[in-house]
Amino acid sequence: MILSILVTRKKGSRLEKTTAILIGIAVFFVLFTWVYERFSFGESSIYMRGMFLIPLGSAALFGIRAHWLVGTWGRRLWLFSAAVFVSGCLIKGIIEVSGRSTDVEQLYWIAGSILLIGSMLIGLYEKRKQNKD
Amino acid sequence: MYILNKEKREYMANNWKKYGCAAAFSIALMSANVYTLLKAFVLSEEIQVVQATNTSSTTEKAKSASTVSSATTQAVITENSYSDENIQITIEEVRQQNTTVYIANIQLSSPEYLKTALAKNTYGTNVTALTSTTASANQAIFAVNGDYYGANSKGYVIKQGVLYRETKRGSSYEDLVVYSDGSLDVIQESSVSAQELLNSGVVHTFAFGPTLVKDGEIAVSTSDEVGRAMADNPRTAIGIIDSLHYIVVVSDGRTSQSEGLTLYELAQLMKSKGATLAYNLDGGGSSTMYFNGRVVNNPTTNGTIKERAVSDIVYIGY
Repeated sequence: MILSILVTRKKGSRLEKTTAILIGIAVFFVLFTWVYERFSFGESSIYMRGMFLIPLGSAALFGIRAHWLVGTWGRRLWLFSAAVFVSGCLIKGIIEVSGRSTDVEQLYWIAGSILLIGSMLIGLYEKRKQNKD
Repeated sequence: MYILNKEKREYMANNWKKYGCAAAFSIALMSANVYTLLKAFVLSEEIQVVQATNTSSTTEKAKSASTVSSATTQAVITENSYSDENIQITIEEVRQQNTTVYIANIQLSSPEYLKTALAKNTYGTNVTALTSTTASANQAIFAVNGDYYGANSKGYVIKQGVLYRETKRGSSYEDLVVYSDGSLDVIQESSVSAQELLNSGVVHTFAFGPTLVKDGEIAVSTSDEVGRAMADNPRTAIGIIDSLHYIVVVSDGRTSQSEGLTLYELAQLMKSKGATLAYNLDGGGSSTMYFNGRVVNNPTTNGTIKERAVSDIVYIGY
């Protein structure tokens, strides 16, 4: 009984910790974008400016304990996909702020989407397995 | 004790898997990011060397002067002007909007003297050279930076009648095209292919923009800007007044002496000088005007007065 409560509490605190870290990362991205654009002669990128929405959105999903995020691999793949999307936004943003145009970020969107779908599928599988147990 | 040690061992084994997985992923992602940025900014890829033609090769130019009409009379050269029977260029330096602006008025007897050149005579990614270096290598009398095609992965590239890239760019801006008779026009890449442009007699394309003046009227609004750049910037623009009569403008900017121009101010200037069609080329640190062996303006790179290496130039010469 106590162990199950501890396990529950531990899992809950892990999600809360992850949520807090993601919010912190979102705030960091906002500050980073602000500082970066101060040295860019006014150039800006919608990708760099919107980068903070990815960890913020993830934090919201962790906060409401979305179904597929309760399992280890569901959660892990979700965070991996978020990292890939953030990298894509950052790369695209850096290149756009330099005055160039590119489509090298396409691979990031593809990889991130694959990880995202994998996260949902595996996460739902883990959730179902947990319910059966 | 034994149970605790086993639990401890299991705990460490599970955590190692967890952190090892995250560490491996992080290393892979960081490596991919570093490689992508290097590929975008540093790693050069030479795709095609400019083939020697009658109008593009300096070697050919030296060997067969008869294939490109050259002046038979001595050129009259001053600090701000050049004049021979085929080419007349006058450079005017003015101050407006707290900015030093250099205006080149160019009159040619033939369109063959309006040329483009690639850095290091090579088409590729991150293949760049200073405008003055490329101009000097091509014995240019006058030159400015082009559209910096190398900074983008898409957009038509036609230089000296050779097609280098026919991938359409997804931009609402028009391209500037130069025909073999020296006339200028603007086109949308979505409405015509690069091969069709070649077939219709286009010898040069510039994929930057926007169009500043069209049919003698200003074609940009006060809120237009290239990408999302701030309003005041160093600028380079080219326009046509009438047949074989061109105007090229370069402005300084990003310094305490010169703020720079907005696109609208640039368009106003072009219109005031009589341009019927004017087009914005690559600006910012790229803006460079070369005339009679020296850089005329003050190109700014990272806050210092220094030329930026660019991928192509447009120039006047034999």
